[in-house]
Amino acid sequence: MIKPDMPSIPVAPHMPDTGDGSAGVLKPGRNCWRIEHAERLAFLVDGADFFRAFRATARHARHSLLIIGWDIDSRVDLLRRQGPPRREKAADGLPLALGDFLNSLLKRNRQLHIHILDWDFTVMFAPDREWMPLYKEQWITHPRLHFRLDDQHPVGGCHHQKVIVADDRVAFVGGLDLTRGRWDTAAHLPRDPRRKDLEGDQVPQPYHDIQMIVEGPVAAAAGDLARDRWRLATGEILSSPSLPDVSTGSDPWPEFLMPDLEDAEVAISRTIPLYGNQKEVREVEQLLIDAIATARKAIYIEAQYFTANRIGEALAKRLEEPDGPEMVLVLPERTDGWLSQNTMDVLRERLFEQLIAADRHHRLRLYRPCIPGLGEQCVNVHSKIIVIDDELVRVGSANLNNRSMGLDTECDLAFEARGDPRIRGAIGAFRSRLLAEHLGAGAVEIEARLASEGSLIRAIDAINGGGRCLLPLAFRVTPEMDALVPSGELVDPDHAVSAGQIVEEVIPAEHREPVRRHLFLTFAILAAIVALAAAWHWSPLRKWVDVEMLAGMAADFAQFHAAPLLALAGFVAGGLVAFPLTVLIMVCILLFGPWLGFLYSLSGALLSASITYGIGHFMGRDVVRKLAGSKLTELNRRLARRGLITVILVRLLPVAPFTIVNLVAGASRIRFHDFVIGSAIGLIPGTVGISLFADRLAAAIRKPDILTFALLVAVIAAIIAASFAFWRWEQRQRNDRLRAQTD
Amino acid sequence: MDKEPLIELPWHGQETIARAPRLLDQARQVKITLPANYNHSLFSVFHPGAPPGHPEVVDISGGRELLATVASIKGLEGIARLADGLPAKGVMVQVVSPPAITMTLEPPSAELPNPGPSPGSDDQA
Repeated sequence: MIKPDMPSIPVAPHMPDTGDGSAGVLKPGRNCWRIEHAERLAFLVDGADFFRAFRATARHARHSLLIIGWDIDSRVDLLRRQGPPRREKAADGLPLALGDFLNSLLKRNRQLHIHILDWDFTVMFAPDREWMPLYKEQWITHPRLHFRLDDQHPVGGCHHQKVIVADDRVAFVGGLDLTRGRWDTAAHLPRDPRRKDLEGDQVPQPYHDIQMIVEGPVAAAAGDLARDRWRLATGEILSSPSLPDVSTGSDPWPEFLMPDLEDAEVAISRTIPLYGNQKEVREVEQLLIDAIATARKAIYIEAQYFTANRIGEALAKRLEEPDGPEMVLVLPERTDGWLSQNTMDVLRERLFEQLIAADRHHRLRLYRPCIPGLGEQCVNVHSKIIVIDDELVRVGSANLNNRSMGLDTECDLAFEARGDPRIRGAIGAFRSRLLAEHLGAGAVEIEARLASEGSLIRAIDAINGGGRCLLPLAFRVTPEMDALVPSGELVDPDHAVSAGQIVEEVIPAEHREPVRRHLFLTFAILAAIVALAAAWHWSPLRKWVDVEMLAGMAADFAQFHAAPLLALAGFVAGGLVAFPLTVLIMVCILLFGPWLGFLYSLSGALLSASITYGIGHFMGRDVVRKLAGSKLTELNRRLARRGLITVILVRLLPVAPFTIVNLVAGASRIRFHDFVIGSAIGLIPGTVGISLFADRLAAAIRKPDILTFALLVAVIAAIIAASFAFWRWEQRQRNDRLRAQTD
Repeated sequence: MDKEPLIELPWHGQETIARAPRLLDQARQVKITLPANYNHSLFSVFHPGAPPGHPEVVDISGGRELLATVASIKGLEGIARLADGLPAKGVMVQVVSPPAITMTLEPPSAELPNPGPSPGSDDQA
């Protein structure tokens, strides 16, 4: 919702309206960081072309390949073809999978270094973040492949820039990451078998997104940006690569790619959140506001989200003008994921209502792409572009939501015509190409209609028909849904939101539990753990110990008064040295029998988990990262969900060793009582299984007859069946989340 | 004859350098608009210790010596000659974003408003 009390951003006060656009919108220091020359540039529409172009460029990188992104997956295939079997290598002999491909580049070129900076969302507040498995061993095997995680963000923010730079000569900037779920062709075919990643199901939803490729000094500037980010995230300073001699024939520009424009000045605009000593940079927001203010005939927008208050305000202001520009917005029918549909889509419709109210002159159209045969699916419009007349185009990572304006890191490219007909032609052709894709028409037909109709909306109306088309966006938010969603400041903040603000927003003061109650709960849990251990030592429950099941030293030990405490100490010591928990539980069951052994095991595991959680909390993330190694990333992603359920799942799944889970949880910001309760619940099934197994194993050894062996086999079968059933369930959940994944 | 308040010049290298000092006779201010890609270089030379990711806004004022700093940028070396063409005193230089250099001839002392007593003057002793 547009807030009337919002501090206003100045709208190009020094921008003379010359009418021909020659004054220019792009101003370094105001709405962009730098403007640099591009010898060539092209728009890469949809993931298939981007993946292919990236692969072609990377093959020719000599010294440096910098990749910074929101996500990256080593297993994603960069090239795909119709029909089985899947190949391991492309015609050039290099692997198809991203990780293998990059490692093969390093093996064949000893000069090459690859730096990958991936968003680490461990410290993020992301309650409904979609998670997916990553096996980052691909990133740590080669000494010249430098993989780092970027966690230098305010709470709730993320690293959202998607920048790839080869040798400071060619750069890719836009909305696409080198990860799963991104590959698609401009045809967006229903049930395209190539739109499938790894062993998962085919992704039913077509994916529409745009990247720009630039060559020349602007690519070097993108390299500076990536190195700056690397320095901020890691503290390491990367030097610029020595530029290869271009005369030697190694051209990193993809050989198959025709440039859309040559010799243009391209601006880089950023969003950088206020964080630590880092100052806030809101160039993207200012650029959008300035660009919207200068539009004369038509504004064309493709956006994944549409909730940015100030952008909405700027658009509404232009709609109110009697002779303002037409506005065509192409958006997804609905965003991905249940949470997003029930929050961001609600905010989106609130903003739509503001625009519709301002649209007194009927110049606004809200569309969604429609492709026959998709059924219940819709095209996932993930692109982030704006085209102003034939004068300015901007492509980048920044969504039209508030967080992209001030909370997340973003990087956009933009260029403008300033009266140059050559550049005007390129901008107009790009818009026509996009409309041709959405309308199932040819770009020439679009151009002709635009010329004859003199109106973007009328041209679309004239072509729009059966087959692929643009349909009006249907409003689907009910008043009940709307009532459940708090203000945009919480759901879609443009700055870091503190826990206090969340509490203020969500829970009225009179309903808030006092802090001391939470503290009490925490101490109560700790006390309960200790009391549980003590109870089994001093209470009559000790009598349940079946000493007949124990033998030799085990029997003597079990009768020892301090045995339970020693058992607990054993678990604690085992946790400190990362001794396998399974072995400890089995020993405990064999010593104390199934009942006491189970309880001692659970108590010991929880005590050990609590202590190593505290150690992790004390050591902090960096130290834990070094200790945890390659297991950390997957664990991070799972723990980032932060809730009780996540802790339970992490305990149930063999994600990482017991001690590492505890350390990482402690170094993260998972609440202690969530951690303890989740651990207790999550450890019970496994501990029960191991207890049953160890008990029946001991019985079989003690009394080796058919019945005991049959029971042992039955227990093993039951454990395997339960594990398999859970694994299958978790896989289905994971695939669902993967399909719904969005950034 | 009254001077023009402002004359704006786009950057055309040596031609601009040659014209600018003479134009100061005709205008109170002469503003040279530099190509946008110099903003980063200007920021880098005037704020060498700025952390990475900093907003790159340049707004610095001073005397002729600022032009020497600007002249240290590759492609703008000729600005050093511009400095040589200006009076040694009475010229104020402002460098701003988007990249532009504004030179202002300070009015003769008779035209200056009375600044009042300055620190360390006899009135304060």
